[in-house]
Amino acid sequence: MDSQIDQHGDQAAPRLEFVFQIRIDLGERVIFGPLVRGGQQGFVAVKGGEITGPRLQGRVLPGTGGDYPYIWPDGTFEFDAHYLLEASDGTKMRLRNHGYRHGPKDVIDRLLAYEPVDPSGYYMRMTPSFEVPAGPHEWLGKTVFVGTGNRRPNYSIFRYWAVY
Amino acid sequence: MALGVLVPLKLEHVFDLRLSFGEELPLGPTSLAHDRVFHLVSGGTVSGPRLQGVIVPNSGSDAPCRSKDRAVIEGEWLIRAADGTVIRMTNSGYGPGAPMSAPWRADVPEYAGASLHLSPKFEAPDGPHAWLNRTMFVGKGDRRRIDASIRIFAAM
Repeated sequence: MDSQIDQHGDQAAPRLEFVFQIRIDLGERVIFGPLVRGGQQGFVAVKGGEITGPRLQGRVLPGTGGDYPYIWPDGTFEFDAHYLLEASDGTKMRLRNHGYRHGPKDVIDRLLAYEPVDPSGYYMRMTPSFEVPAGPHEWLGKTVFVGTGNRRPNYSIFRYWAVY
Repeated sequence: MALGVLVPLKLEHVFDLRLSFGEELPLGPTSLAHDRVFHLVSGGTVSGPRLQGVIVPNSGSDAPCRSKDRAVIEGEWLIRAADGTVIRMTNSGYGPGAPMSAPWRADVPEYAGASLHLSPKFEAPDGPHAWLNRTMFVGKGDRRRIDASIRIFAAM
């Protein structure tokens, strides 16, 4: 559905397969700094959420983590999130998410104020990785993913594609 | 549930790497990571629309960690771009498990190659290559005993 292959049409180009999306319910966003190394530290707690899609369904386990973004001196957000998921069959797994968000300052300012922003006006991409037990979900621990994010006041939605 | 704006995702081919490997140094069994082997990177090339250069000889290693069901790829080396800029590349991802990954060991001579799926990262100084620092990449590789070819795509 949302997959698009390399426009160069090379045989070795990866195929993207949409696998699932996660809505993450978030607590209060915190930013502090400047840090000794420069930049700022952010934090937001994960309060829960829902996983839907063709390859995984389940929920985000409340109180199991959050995002600890490092905000670069130039304003780039480097996401560094980890928390636990529970698939609908009860399997627990750990998700770590690493990614970047940056763009023109006026666009990012509007985004941070939760004003409507054209998603093509800024860059926000991430790659999740999983610690998962053997069994029906172990493919998550052997697959490379890329994703996009949509930031809302009380939640974020991440959409993930497997790279084949 | 409000889904919000659906963001399109596409992959843009940015460059290719060819790596040559020298000495193999098996780490041996540990309580954490069984069967990790360091393959010293002896050199290589970088070519493509967004980056050209060479792999700095002996600047790092490819260190896959093999288990029955998967090989976890971890490696790090340096690129010297055509303009002289030194760029650190950290590679990670997955390859096939045993027995497909067994030929990475020097004591298994016959090996046709293994497909790798990668999520590389870069560290570049301010300047024309700084875009590497803040872009998500994926890669596909073909790993053979003494060399590898990797195609890198930016997630746009």
